[in-house]
Amino acid sequence: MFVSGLDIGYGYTKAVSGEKNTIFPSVIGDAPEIAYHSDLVSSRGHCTKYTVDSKSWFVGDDALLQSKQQVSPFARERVDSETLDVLLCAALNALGVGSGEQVVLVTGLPVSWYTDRPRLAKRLLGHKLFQVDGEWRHFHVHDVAVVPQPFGAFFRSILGPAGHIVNSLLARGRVAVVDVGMYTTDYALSDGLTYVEKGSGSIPLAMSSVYDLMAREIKQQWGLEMSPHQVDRACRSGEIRIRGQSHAVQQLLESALDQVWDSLQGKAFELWGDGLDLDAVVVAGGGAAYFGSRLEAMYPQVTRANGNGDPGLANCEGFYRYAVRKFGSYGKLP
Amino acid sequence: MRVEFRYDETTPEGRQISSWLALQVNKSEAIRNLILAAMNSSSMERRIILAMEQAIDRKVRGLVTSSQVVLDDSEDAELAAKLDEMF
Repeated sequence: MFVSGLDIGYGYTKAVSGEKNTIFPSVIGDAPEIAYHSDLVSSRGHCTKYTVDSKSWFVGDDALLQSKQQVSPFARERVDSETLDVLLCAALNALGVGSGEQVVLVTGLPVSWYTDRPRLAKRLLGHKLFQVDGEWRHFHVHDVAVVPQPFGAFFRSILGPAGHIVNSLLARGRVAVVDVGMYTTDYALSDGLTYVEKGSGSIPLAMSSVYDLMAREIKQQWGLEMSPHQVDRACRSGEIRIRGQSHAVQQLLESALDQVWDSLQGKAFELWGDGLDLDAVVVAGGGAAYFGSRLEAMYPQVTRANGNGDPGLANCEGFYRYAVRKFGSYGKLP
Repeated sequence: MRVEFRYDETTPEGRQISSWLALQVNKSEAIRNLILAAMNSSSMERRIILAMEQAIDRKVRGLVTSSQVVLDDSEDAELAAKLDEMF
């Protein structure tokens, strides 16, 4: 049995199984034949082609680089789209799922769309047949659990790698979770392991809003059009290059973060007030690296879901730990 | 999981641990912070020892021994049942 935590986000697809993880942009695109492959640049020398239902696709960075028509799992229809099938196959293939293997998954949905979970589970379950560079592979998704997205980070905070509760104090406590993703920010509240609906919610503002504001400013200042993924990369490297010249983006980033933060903190305050009754505020998601210090100033009891690990993977790591617990007996899986 | 810190106040090391804990405004909060600091490692016991050493005195190495940190792997049954029924 292959156990995995899977997080197909708007921005990035993340998957974890055991010590392995994969993260790539949630983008698929047409897969044209590439006439020239460089032997010198191995990481870009070959693009992996996935074929699902007779259609061929590049996935993630390969699609961003080579595909003219790119598709992302935007909006709510993502739970029913073929994009989801391709990203699922690519993610589990990257983790090394064996051909013919039985798979169990835990995944998440934004809090405000949580009612879509039966549709998502139905889409993920069953036999998956696909080709990787022309070679047939298949696996069977035997069972799926769908949890509210931020609960991945919560599980990451309270469960150990084998699915044990390792932090009883936090599990018993009143704990808020903020998950700043690419297109949504999710908020959840757990009180002694009871999900509190009135303390949970989502807003359609997150890192893409920051990147949009920055892209607008970059276009205005330098005339360069950039996609959210390109701005994301510029933020990670701290610079954009225009006609060979490097320009720092920190100031643009801080200004955009300030603008989006107003809405993010407004929602947190609406749900949890000044947080005096909260034992901890767990932060996760790719945006945690950018908004973490602002959240800490608002709620001093802020804790990072996976410590110094990549906050973008925290939910997925939690999904995996919960999957080990739910679908096996502390790792002793059938 | 339960974490126990065992120390002997008749030894200098034990007295140092004891006085450090006494300085904390809230002892359970201090221990919780140690556990949070230690959680993200495959060798949690080692990390707790290091976190505790750093908390007591960054200059002192080898002050806390593993015999002073006892990990109990059993889960709180009530919490475990609640978690398993959550989703």
